[in-house]
Amino acid sequence: MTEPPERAPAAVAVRARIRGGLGAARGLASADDLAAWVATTWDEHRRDLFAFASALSRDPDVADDLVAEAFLRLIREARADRMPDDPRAWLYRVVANLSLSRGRRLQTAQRFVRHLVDRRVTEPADARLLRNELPSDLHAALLALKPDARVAVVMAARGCSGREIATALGRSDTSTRTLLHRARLDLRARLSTGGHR
Amino acid sequence: MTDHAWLADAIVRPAFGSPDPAMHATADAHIASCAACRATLGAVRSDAIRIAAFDAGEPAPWVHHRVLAAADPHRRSWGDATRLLVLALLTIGALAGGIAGGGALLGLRDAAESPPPPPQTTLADLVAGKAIVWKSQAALLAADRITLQANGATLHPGGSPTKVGGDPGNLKYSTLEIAWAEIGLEQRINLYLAADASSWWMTEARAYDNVGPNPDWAMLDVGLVGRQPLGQAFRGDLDLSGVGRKGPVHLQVSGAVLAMSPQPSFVDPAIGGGPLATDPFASGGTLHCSGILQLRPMDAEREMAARGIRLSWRFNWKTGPNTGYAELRLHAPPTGYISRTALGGDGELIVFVEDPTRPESDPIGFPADCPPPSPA
Repeated sequence: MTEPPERAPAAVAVRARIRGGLGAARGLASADDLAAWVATTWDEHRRDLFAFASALSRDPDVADDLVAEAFLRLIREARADRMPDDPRAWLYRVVANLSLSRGRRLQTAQRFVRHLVDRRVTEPADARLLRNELPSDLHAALLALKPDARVAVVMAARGCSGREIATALGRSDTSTRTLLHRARLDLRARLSTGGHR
Repeated sequence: MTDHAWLADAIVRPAFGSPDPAMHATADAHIASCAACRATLGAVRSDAIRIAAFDAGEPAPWVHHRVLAAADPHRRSWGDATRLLVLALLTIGALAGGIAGGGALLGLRDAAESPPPPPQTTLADLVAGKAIVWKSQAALLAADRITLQANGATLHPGGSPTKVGGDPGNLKYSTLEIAWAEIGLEQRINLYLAADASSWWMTEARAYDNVGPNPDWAMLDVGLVGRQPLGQAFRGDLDLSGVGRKGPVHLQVSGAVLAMSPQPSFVDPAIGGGPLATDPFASGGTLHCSGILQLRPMDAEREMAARGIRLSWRFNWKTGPNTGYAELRLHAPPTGYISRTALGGDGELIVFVEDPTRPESDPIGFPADCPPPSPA
C-alpha cells in the first residue's frame, strides 16, 4: 500500500509565507507568492492527481478536465485566503466530487446519447505520447463499480486516509468503512471472474 | 461478528486503522488461520497495489497553461492576446539559471531553507525594455534589434510593420508573420513553430528576398530554434540564413525572446466532444439531412454542441477576385451564413461562415438527396 507522498517543505514554507502576505495585504508580493505556490503544488501533485482522475474516468480528456478544474478551484480558494493545509487531500476531494457530480449529469444525459455523433476513432499516436493506461482488466472492473465505490477504492489505494475518503464522499466513517470493504471485494470478484457485470 | 467478518477489518485497516488493538489482534489471528481469508486479503491488497502503481503520465499541456494562467499575478496588465501568452509562458526562475532542481517550474524547491526565492521571471519581465515586440495569438518574438540582409541591402523590420500576426494554429503549430515596406518593396518574415506534449520548436523560417518588383520567399533553413520545454521561452541571439534569388538572405535577431503557447483551435462541448472520425454533415453522415447547417450560425452552434460535436469556426471573407481570408473563431460569428464544413486535423468540425458584406461563397443548400424537411 502506498503512503501519501511526504509533503514538500518548500510548499509548506511558501504556503506559510502566502498566508502571512495575504493576511497583511493582498499586494503584488503575495500574488507572486501565490503563483509560486500554485506552480510548486502543480509540480508536486499533478501526476498523482491525473492518475487518480484517469482511474476514475473512461476518457483521458475528462481526466484533464477534472485536474484543471480542481487546480482552478484551489487557486480560487487560495485567493480567498482559504488555502488548504493539505493540498493533496483537498485536490483529491475536489476531483472525487467533480467526478461523482459529472457521473450524475451524464446519467441525465444518457437519453440524448442516440443523438450523439459516432466518434469511434483511433486517437492519433502522438496525442497521448506521454500517457499511460491502467491495465484494461483493472480499469474495466473499476469502471463497473458504482461511482462512489470506485472513488473509495482508488482513493484508498492511492494512500488517502479513511477520513479523507469519508469527507470526499460526504459519508460517515462507519458507512465509508462498509462501502470500502464491499467495494474492494466487489472489485476482486469482478477481476476474478473476468466479468464486469 | 462471524469469524470471516474479520476480513473486513483487515481490508479497510490501511485506510482507517484499527481503533481497538484487541480487535486488530483477533482479526489477524483469524486471517492467519483461515486460508480463504488470507487468499482474499492477498488478492485485494494486490489490486490496491496495481491501482497505486498506476502512473497516467502528464495532464495535457493546456491544463498546465490554464492553471499557470489563472495563478499569474501579472495577467491583468496585458492585452488579451498577450495575456494568453504571458500566463501560459510564465518563465520562471529556471530561465535565469542557477536554480537548484532545474525541473522545478518556479525554482522554489529549496524555499524552506530560506533565503527567500529569487523573484520569478515572467514573459512580461523578459520582454520589458525590448525595442521590438511582435506577437500573434500563440507566439511572441521580442528583441533588442532585428536586421534582415537581402539582395545587398540591410533592412530594418522593427521600424513600422504593416502587419504583425499569424496563424494561431492549434496545439501542434502556429506561426508569427510580419510584413513591412522598405526600399519601395513589401518585405515579409514568417516564423513557423511546432509543439508536442512537452516541447516546442521552430520548423521553418522565411523572409522575402528583397528582389523587386515581386519579392519572393527565401527559406532560412540554418539556425532554427531547437526544442524548448513548453512554458519556457528561448532567449539568446537568432541568426537565420538561407539563399534568395540574388544571393544570401540573413536574419539576425539580437537579444531575442521567442515564445510559443500552443492554443487549441476548437471547443469541446460540456457533454461529448473528442475527435470526430468523419464529417457528420457529409453525404451519408448522421447529420447530413438534419438541416442544422441551414440555421443561423449561433443556432447551429447550439444544436451541434448539444450533439457533442467538437467545433471550430472560420469567419470567411473575400479579399480579391480570387482570394479570401478565413479568420479562426472558437465560437459562431453573430452574423453571416454557413457555407461549408470540413474536418480538421484534431478531429474538429470546421464550420465556415461567410461575412455577409463580402462573401466568398453562397449559403450551403439543403442536400438534394435528403427528404424535404418536415414543417415544424
